[in-house]
Amino acid sequence: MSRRIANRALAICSGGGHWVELRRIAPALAGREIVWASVYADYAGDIAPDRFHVLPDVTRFNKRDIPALALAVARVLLAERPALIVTTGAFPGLMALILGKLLLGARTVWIDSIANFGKLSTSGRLARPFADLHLTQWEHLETPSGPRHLGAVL
Amino acid sequence: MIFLTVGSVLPFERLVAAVDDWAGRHPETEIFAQTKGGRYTPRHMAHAEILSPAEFARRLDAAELIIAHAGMGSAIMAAERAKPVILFPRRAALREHTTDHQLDTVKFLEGRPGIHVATDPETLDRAIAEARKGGGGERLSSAAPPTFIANLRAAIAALD
Repeated sequence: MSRRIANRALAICSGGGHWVELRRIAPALAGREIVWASVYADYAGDIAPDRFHVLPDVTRFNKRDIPALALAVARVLLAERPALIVTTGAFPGLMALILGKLLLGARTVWIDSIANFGKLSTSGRLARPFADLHLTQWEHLETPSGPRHLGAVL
Repeated sequence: MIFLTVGSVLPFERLVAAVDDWAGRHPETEIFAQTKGGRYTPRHMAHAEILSPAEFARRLDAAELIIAHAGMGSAIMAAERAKPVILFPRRAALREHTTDHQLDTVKFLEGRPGIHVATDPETLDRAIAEARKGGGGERLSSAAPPTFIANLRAAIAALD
């Protein structure tokens, strides 16, 4: 038995704008079973009847909670075993790409938030070695060695 | 009703205080604010630290004008409802965020129909007057543009 479920995609991100952007790109995952994870339980209503997992709300501002986030992300990954992980950031997305590669060998997609116009986000830079597809939403931030630019949510 | 949101991550006292000051001078206008707490407590407007997404959506739907920190989520949610929005960027130097990316956000969004920008309390009054007069822009679709969806779909398929 494979350790991944081929047709299952995990769409994961932190709250606020990241969640809004992630929902806007969901049509690109049509045909797959999408399971979602983010930091506010109430978001489940936005994507019902899809499955939703709630994560601790950890940002770079509260570093002490990083182990709790890592544990929660690992639990979601091992419960769902997605073959594909897509994130719009930030910290939970970075965690999911790292752990998704290590635990499952999943395919991973990082889409840096459209808010990062001046430069790639810190999480985005850190995610690079763990992202099979590493995208910026701004053409001027694209470089030959990555990230690539395929468009934007607006 | 004017709905003020500073997003769901950090308080933004400078914006909350500026809108509260405006509220004190315009008691005829109903205002509701999501403040994320912080040291400043509004005196002239109804407020909550955080709203549930359902309640947040209800407030957005009911608003004639949205005033927000310059977060993409706030800007997109206003545009999806074709509501006029005033974006007020956080500044790293004032410890309102870790970086100045919200200054970039207002740079590339300013001038779109329905989007107004205020960078300090002094320009907020004029922005509110203009935004109430100008109305919203065109309603934004709830999905990303079809070309981006198609490109993304193809790039993901190529990973297998």
